[in-house]
Amino acid sequence: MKNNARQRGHLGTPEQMASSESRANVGRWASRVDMTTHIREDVGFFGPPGRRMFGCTHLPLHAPSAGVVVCSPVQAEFLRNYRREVLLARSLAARGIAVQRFHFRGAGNSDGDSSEATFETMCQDALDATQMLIGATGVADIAFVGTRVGGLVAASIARNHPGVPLVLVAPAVDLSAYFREIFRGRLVSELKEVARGRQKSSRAPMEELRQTGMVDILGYPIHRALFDSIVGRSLVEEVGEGPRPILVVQVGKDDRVRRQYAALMTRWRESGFAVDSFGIDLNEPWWFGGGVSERRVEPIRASALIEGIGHWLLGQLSS
Amino acid sequence: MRTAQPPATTYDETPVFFDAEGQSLFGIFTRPTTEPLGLAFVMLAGGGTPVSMNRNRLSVRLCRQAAALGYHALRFDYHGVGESEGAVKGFRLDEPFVDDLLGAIRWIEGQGIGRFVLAGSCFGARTALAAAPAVRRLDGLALMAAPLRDYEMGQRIGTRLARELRLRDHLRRALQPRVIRGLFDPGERRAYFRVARAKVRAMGHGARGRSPAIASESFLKPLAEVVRRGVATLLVYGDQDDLWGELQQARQGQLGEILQDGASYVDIVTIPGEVHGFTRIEIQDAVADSILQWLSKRADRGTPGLRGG
Repeated sequence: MKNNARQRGHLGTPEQMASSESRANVGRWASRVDMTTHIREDVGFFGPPGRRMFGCTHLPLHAPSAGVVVCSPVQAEFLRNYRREVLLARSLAARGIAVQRFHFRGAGNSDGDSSEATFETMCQDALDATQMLIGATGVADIAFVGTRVGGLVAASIARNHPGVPLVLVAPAVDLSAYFREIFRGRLVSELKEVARGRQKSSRAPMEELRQTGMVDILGYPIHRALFDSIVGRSLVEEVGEGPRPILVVQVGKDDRVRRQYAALMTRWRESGFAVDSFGIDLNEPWWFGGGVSERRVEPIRASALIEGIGHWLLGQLSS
Repeated sequence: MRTAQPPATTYDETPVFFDAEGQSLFGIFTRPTTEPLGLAFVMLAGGGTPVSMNRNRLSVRLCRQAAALGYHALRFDYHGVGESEGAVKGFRLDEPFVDDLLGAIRWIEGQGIGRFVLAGSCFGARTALAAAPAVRRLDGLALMAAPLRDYEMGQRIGTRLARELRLRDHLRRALQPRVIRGLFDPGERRAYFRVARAKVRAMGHGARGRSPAIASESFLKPLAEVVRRGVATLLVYGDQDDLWGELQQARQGQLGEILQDGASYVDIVTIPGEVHGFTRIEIQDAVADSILQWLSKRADRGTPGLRGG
């Protein structure tokens, strides 16, 4: 394993790979090559000064056959899903597909504050990441992967690329219900605090959001700007009418396809979309830490998730 | 106190890969935005959110603001986490990732910076503490919600109850339907075994007329060494942390002697609420303020880390 090695092979250094338009906006990068899996990872910052995003480009050591952009979920879900996205990207790169991961502005290692993030800025960030990938690799075939709210972003920007494959992992279908679920998590946590003899917040989450512009959900802020920009949206509208291959990945203990996903997939199939789905049997507490027993099975289930998505994408991108 | 500068941004940061016992780990190195102190601030995340950014970007904020005080800063992903190589099975407090941290320190030394302030929360605090004796030029140690006992992540409450509950209470709990259901799950069975083992140990201590030590050897020994060397140390707890209650109990024993020896340079700060887990933003803000105030005082002293200095 070479650390910080700049491979001057087919793809050159990150600076060389960047198109002339984006070269000025390429920040510092670190590269690593894994000769076991034959992949290279370029990690760094890109974008205009003051608004740079953290990104990681996972590349095969030969010219990639296609590219995938990964749109992460937000806040607790972002950290919870992080390693799965890294392993997915490595798995795809080992199979010849370039992958661009990134942190939205205001999140992770990127510039900006979370209070500035909206659905629109998230979509712009994803578009910038897509341009970064295309500029760096020259790939013509692209696919998008999005988890939870990241699925909404992926669906929205995929509309710029008619017919390209879209993977939706545990997608939020109805965004009002999505936020209600998150707020309920805080209420459950507060009930536990009350049971321990501690006081709970005097305000309900929605009231706190309205009055202060931000609600604290287990140490993560949900800001009014993000909430307002997302809550009225729906996955159906963001996917749009143009048919494309879609993979829906259900994560949870359900034996059957959830009603909301089943209805969605039926609607898409009737509109000419090629829709596939599979489920991962994993009790995923997106906003809470997993229990000891779940942490032990998680690597196994994560492998199944990654294999399933990777297998589907390879099939779509090679056809 | 140094004049506050704007925190660093990505402009001041460099992503890095470094070697730690044959594995490639990832970190982000932040350069000072003001006159450098020649000190590196290394921030370690807890086991609950082990990624280098930490919950709600707390480590990102601390590193960027430490840089505004003149520190170089590094936050990194443990092996098997984030962008790093490898795989991790679990986070045990008596098996902290010392090799990861020492790899980070060697990398920083390779950049020409030879003095360190280590900081961490929960598992990260124990990792910093365990590695501290091996860090030659350790100028400061900041431990946030550092557990005193040894257990695997997720077992804090179970092992505490093992000590505190009477045997008949344990037996009553064991007959609850959800516990019986758990016997069919291998992971839950292992967890029950650990609780049972902790209870047996506690009973053994009781039978010998000794009250079981709350603070483990792997907590006390490096802390004693750090105190002996005169390293400025900050302990931050929430007044509602059960860990704070355990610290208070442990002060009746050997821990009290260690803290007494280091009275002039060991600071203990309590914050209203529960620090462990950083599950409230106002707590994160209060912890960050405490750490940064302490870092600022260390920066103002010029040659921090010496006994009495």
